[in-house]
Amino acid sequence: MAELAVSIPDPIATFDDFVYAHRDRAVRVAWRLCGGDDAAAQDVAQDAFVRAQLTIHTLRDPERLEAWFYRVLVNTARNHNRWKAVRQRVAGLFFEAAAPEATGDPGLRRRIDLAMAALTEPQREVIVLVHLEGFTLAQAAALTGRAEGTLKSHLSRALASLRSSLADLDPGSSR
Amino acid sequence: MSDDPLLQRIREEWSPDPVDPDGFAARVRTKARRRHRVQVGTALVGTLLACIAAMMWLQRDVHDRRIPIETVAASSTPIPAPEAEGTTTAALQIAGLATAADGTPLAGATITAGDVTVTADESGRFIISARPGETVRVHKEGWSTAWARVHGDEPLTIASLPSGSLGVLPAATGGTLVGPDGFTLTLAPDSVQTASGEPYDGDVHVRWSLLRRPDQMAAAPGDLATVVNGAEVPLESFGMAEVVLTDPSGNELDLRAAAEIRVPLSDAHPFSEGQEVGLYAYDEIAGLWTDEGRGVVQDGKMLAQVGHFSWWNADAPLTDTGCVCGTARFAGAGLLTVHAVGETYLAKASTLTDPDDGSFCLDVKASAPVHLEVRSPRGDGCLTGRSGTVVASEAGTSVEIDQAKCARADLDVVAGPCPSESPRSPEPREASAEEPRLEIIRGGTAEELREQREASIRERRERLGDRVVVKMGWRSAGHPENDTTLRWRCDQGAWNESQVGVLGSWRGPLPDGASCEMEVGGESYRFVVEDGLEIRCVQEAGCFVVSDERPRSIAVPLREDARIRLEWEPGDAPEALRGATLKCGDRLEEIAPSADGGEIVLTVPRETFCWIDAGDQGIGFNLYEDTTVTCRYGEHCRPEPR
Repeated sequence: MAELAVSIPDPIATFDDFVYAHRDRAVRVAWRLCGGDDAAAQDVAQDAFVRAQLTIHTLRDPERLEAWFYRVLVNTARNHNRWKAVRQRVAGLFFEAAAPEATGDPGLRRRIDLAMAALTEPQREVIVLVHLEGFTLAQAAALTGRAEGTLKSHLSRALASLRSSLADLDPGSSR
Repeated sequence: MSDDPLLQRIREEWSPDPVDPDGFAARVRTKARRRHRVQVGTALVGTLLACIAAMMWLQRDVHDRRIPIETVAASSTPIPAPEAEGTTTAALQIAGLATAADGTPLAGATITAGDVTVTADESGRFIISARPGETVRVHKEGWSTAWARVHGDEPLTIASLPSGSLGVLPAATGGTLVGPDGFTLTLAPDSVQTASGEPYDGDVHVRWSLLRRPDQMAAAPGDLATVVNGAEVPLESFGMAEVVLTDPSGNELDLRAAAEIRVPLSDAHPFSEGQEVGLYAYDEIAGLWTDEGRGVVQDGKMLAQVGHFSWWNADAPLTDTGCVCGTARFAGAGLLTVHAVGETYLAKASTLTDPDDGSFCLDVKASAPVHLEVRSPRGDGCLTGRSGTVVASEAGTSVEIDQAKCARADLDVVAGPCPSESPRSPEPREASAEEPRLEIIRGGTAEELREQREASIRERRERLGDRVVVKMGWRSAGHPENDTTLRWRCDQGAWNESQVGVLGSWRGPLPDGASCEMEVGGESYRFVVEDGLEIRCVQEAGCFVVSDERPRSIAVPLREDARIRLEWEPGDAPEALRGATLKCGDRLEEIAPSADGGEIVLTVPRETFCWIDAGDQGIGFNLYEDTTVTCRYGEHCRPEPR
């Protein structure tokens, strides 16, 4: 059986380097997918690296490490967001939810937070991956497990929503 | 990336603060190490490439034999515990301590990792070049085989038990050997083969080690845990034994037919006569215990049939757990491994301390006494620490740590010389003519025993009619949350299913010659039932028949196609869909508008282009996977993969 070892790919040899190279981007993607939550972004990115490392043996093609990892990251963020919703529902039974900052100028970041939060999960994912992180539509389709045609539709709607809620940041929009 | 000014502005403004690289790396390292050590379920195949592990696992079972350490080591990949930035997963110099279960050193033991072999010094200390994820084996004549897995540069402490010669049996006739402690082995005639799978008819030398007291638990290989329905579950042992078969030259032999063992149980075992007890085998690849069926309690022993030799264990999942938390630190020592050992029962657990504050939490048996210890080689000496007896809390778990509920135990870790050989060091039992008692209890000529075997087969066929026993097994590729269901049906009959979780199997009778389908791990397979058929499936690797001479794949996916379900909602304007069609490849279906809604389900080859045509508008996509398209009046139809 020893000959079986001959063809073993060794994707791990570069994994430490991969973590080092992708740490900042992973946290940034997680931060954006989690709606600008610093703590959640750190947790999600760390969990994604850990999960990726522990399951990297399932990766058949080491060349696809990056795409594979970001798919793990997207899934980890989805899980986090789903549980976040549950936690918020449970917490809402006991605690009064913080009132949203509805008026005044809460700061641009906060406004973008709210605009992004208004998007559906698929819309937020595709706008983050394609327009904010520079993945191609095909890559985003692979990362999210959705068809490209579906993503185009989500992109279109997400952009429309953002242009509506952040119109003053869009010099091309009609006022 | 888009040059859209709005998106550019969002990119600039909507970003997180810079990451603290040191803090981030430390947290990743801690999480990974803890998951590695504590969550054996995660580490199940997480340290091996799935396909390779699968093949070795299959090979092992095909030939019913132990997996040679050379194979394990050669195919181990340097996965694992992440190291600090800038370090590499190349071979590390790992310090270790080879000891007896009571801590006395095992001078001169042979330590093997991959193709590297070193010898322990007089204090049992060794330094070996090994990569994270590799399995390290400790061997010394007269002692049980001990195992540990490399976790980063964490020092290893590996303990063994005295091993003795049970006696010698002629392979051709088989027979029964009984040890002085009551351990019993029965080999059937012609049931032994060489490591290369050739029939063996010479003398079989049998060595055994028995673990049935709490003070021996350090020598139990690996973490004492298994995986049930996707979750790691600690085990409580009631007695375990290792059996090694060799030829007169010391070459290891394997089983080619089931053998019978009787393992003496611990004094405190709770079982009554005739009661079933869990039968677990130690998997040297996965580093955990795998459920191999059931044994029966007879006269204070577990009676079981086994198909290969390794460590065998009478266990039950330890579901009634409490916890113990505390701190263990030593300046400059970094992470420490803390071991918890039951004082009145057979169980153990270990974890790594938190690098920030030295804290730890461990799941142990609820309301039962344990002690905690640290024993680790460092520099020229050893770090040691040991708590007194601690009674674990009656509830609580390290998964959802509520430290207020857990019992508390802080360890004083001190540096000093490593223990040296002492008079109380157990004397390994050497093979002798007197000690082992050889009894040929059952035997006969090969012809007589073949007739017995054929009679047994005839009896089984009469009992089962035209049905034969089939076994289907499943192993995940390291996803601890995996909760897999195995489904099967034969001759288009009703579906049956069995929850197999991360690691499990179903065994039962199916109609001989039936054409069956099986679904597991998101894939489907076809097979034809035959006597003794055994199928093993491994996530990512596929399903294989292992009852043949060589494993053969049955990876014949039924689902080279995908299913599209088009649903449209009830509405008051069904005419909006009048004339609309669903076209997938050559298939064309008309959408029949109705105030009651409706659906069309098509199964077509994967990657077929599907087009929903509604006159002046439509939607098209490639069908890569099962997809549901929902159409609502006034909105676009929305395809979502299922």
